[in-house]
Amino acid sequence: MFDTFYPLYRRIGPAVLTLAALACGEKSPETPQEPWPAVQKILNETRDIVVLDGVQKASLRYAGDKTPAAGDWRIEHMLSDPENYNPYTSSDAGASQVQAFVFESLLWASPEPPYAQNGHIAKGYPVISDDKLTYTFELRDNVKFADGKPLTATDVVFSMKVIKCPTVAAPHLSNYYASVVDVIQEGDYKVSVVCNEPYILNDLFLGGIRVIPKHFYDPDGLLDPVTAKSLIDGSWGKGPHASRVKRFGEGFNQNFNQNMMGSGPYQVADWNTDVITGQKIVLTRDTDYWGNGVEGLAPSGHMNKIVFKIINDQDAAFIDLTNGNLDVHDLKPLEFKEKSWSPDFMKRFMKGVPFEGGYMYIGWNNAGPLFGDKRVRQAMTHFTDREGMVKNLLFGVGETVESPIHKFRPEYNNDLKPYVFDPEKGVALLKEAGWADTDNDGILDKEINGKKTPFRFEFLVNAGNALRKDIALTLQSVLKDVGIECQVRELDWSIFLERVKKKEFDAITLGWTGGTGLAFPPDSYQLWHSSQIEGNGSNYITFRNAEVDRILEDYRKEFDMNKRITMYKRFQEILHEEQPYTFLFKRRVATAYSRRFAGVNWYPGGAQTQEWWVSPDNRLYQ
Amino acid sequence: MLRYLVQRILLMLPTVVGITVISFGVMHLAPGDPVDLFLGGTSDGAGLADKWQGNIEKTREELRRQLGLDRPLYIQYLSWATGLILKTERLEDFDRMAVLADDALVRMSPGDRAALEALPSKEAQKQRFVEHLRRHAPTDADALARSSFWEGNTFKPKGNYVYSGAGIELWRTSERRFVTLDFGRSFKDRQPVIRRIAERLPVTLEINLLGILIAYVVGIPLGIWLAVRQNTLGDRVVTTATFVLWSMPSFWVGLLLIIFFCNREFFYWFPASGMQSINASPEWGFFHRLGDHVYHMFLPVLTSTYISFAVISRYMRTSVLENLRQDYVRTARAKGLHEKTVILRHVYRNSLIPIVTTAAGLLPGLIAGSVFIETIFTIPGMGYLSFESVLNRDYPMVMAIFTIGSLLSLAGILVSDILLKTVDPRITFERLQG
Repeated sequence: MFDTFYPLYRRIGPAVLTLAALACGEKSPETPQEPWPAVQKILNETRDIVVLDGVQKASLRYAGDKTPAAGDWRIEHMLSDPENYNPYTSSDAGASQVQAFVFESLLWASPEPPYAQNGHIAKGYPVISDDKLTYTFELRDNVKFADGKPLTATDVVFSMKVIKCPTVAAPHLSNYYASVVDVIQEGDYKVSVVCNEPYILNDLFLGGIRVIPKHFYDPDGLLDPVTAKSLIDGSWGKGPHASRVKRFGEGFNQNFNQNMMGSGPYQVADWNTDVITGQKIVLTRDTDYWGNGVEGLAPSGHMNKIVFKIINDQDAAFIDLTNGNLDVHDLKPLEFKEKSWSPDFMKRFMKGVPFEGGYMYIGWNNAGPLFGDKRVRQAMTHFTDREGMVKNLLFGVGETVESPIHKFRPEYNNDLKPYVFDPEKGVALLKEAGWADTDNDGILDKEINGKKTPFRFEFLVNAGNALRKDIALTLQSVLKDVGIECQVRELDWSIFLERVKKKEFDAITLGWTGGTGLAFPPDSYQLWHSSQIEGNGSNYITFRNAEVDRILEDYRKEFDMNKRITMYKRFQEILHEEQPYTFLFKRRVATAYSRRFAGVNWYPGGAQTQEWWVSPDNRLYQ
Repeated sequence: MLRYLVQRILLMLPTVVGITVISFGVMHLAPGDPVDLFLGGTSDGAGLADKWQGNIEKTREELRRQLGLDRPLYIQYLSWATGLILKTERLEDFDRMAVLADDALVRMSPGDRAALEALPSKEAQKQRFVEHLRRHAPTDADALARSSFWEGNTFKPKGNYVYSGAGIELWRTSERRFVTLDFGRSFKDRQPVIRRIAERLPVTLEINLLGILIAYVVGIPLGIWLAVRQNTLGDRVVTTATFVLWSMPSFWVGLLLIIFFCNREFFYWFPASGMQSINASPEWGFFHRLGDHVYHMFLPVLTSTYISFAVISRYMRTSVLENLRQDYVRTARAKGLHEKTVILRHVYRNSLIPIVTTAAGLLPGLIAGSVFIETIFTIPGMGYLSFESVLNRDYPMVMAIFTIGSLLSLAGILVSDILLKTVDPRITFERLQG
């Protein structure tokens, strides 16, 4: 048999071996292993945003002196097609990204501290009545929608009516504006909004409404005779206009998914060619934009087109970035660590590495028998090697957090001493709390309600998230040595969510995303007030503390910033002591962007892509 | 035969009903609430936005009501099921008036119509129309004046009544409308389910049909070649290669193809994703667009078929080998026929029988796009749609996909049985006598 095959081996053998050698061989010489340690050093030394030019630190602000010029395209990545572009019924993050360019709101926040709110559609900050309940906005008189029609107070009132309209499929939005009681129009350029209680973030809510044109979204004038008040207090149902409201709701929910009309600087030029389902969305700069040349507005963008390329697969998206088909893209940790350091890549892309707006945490069920005692929770935090996790799971691309408040906010309490990884201290705390291994089976136990209970619990993570699973497994291995049995269970997201909301868990790991971010005062009411425990509120871990409750309630009405800072510093102190969560870390997210962009500034909250422009010599597209 | 056909088709109906009941039951019994998912962020659990958290219980209830989820289960099922075949709905007051207005407009004389449309403003048109109605149909005019249709800008000189439902409107009288194929509206964006499916179906069909075509065109000759050269070196090598191909999972191969053939650092022969270039414009000529399309579809189609031609060539090989052992082949050779004629005219046809009959069983698979390939290559097809809908508990969409899929399955099995009978006359459906 060998004789038949020997001639074959002689001919094919060497070829196969060469192929194998090529395949298993080391990485091409273009990806040296050295850049990462240098980069990591820079990242760890700078507890702030870092901009990387190759392996060097670059300045955070644009240093050139040329003036911006209009032109070129910017191609961004979108993970999945939003499909629904309705400004109020769509809850998709991708749709929101697109709508940010197409619609505008009354106010805009400056990206530089102290993050003042300036007028955009409104002339300036609203006038607040003495009882803090009425906000009066004066509008500019030169605002126009993309079809040329003027934006007046009627459109602002209409927008508010639609949001509060119960037949519109946006209950989440309607409840976001739950404090609005009435909307009064005074002439063509003045609107007053009345709220039901004083709240420091009312200006954020009201200033952030995306104003939509009445003539486009209600061409038949169905809502004209209906007052905002009747929609809000529910009297519309018995009034003569009930069928109009129902009809409007149906039409609004169904007919505006694939068309948009806003007053923003970008619009979809042709829905048939510019929006291809599942493939791309192209926004074109409106040369007649009303804000061209107007002082004091939010930056309106210099790109001729903004293209959102839809790529469902993260790896394919990264390859498209290296091919030059994407201009800006967030890098996954592994891509940041290993795959983006070839000389070719560094020659074409800069990297900005800010911190994400949110944080990750381990949530303990404060109402359970195991974690009801704060000493046990403190012990758990001592058992969690947070620095180690940052180093090994995030590859050093992140930092630990001690409180839910953003580090760059004035309310942040800098005096909190971080809990270090100290299993011995944890064991001592557990002993204090009454846990000991009385039966020598290797597991700690305690008598709870007359029964000897071993320290065993279930740690829930949602399936498909490798980082969260690794966090759980890391903790599990430490706990094993200490005498605590922790079982890690992966559940499908929808099932996981159900368990969390029903509070049927011992420990979970999750994250909170940015929310209002850096630009506005934080409001921790939703997460930490005891009223949010029942009825599907977000206080899943059942945290109850009378002093915290009081602070959170008073804070919402305190319009003096300094007093607020003092209140929240105390709030953070209490949380730090009670450890209802083990606060883990916030990650850095590396964003690679093409070097051809000028005017790139990295603010504490990230980069404002609307400021970017490309000089005529570097342009790639029309 | 006809009787058999009728019997089978009648049997299909209860089967489909049973399948829909089971699908409905499974979907609703599965843990996870579509409302929670809508409110709780993306299905990959990227993180709950703390922005929407206020007053969430009211939001949940309102959403449940809007989606029809607060009704008892059997009512939900019945209202879904009756929408499919023929649903009669009473028109609401607004729509009834619109129909009335349309009928009256149709009955107007052409001169009057032209005069009406020539009027400059909507107000003037409304006025003229009301006058016309008062003269010709005073009761209708009264009804119109009283209804809410008449307020606002709602009158149009043509086409006042617009069907805004999710199905296909068959016809309408002045009191009722008759709708069919109403699969409902997707929970995700309130758009008619059939429209989303109709958008995605051609893409998946294209990939699958092309794939099947290539698989057969490559696989059948390959199978014959392998059988004829049985046990030679060529047979051994190609057989090993087909087993290797068979064992490589498609999602891995897809990703590898992208990494090696769509990448500046290796071979930049194909685009990394999508179905058309980023600067594709309708001004391109037909061939330009066709070329662009082929350029983008090459890798996805390749990834979805490479296993099939391995499989088909194996089946063909076995079938041909079996036929080569038959007596008629020996007879043909004895008659002095050329070997080629023996194979390509006699053996080939007989070996094709099992392949052809199993081909009909591919019918349901035609609409079942592969989630892996669609995600990796960003092809908006049925696979990704069904996967996402199930994860997001988008009940109407899932029910529609299951129903269509099951209908196609049953049709495929029926066609396959009929084909078998036509192709092979030895098979009979009647009971054997005696």
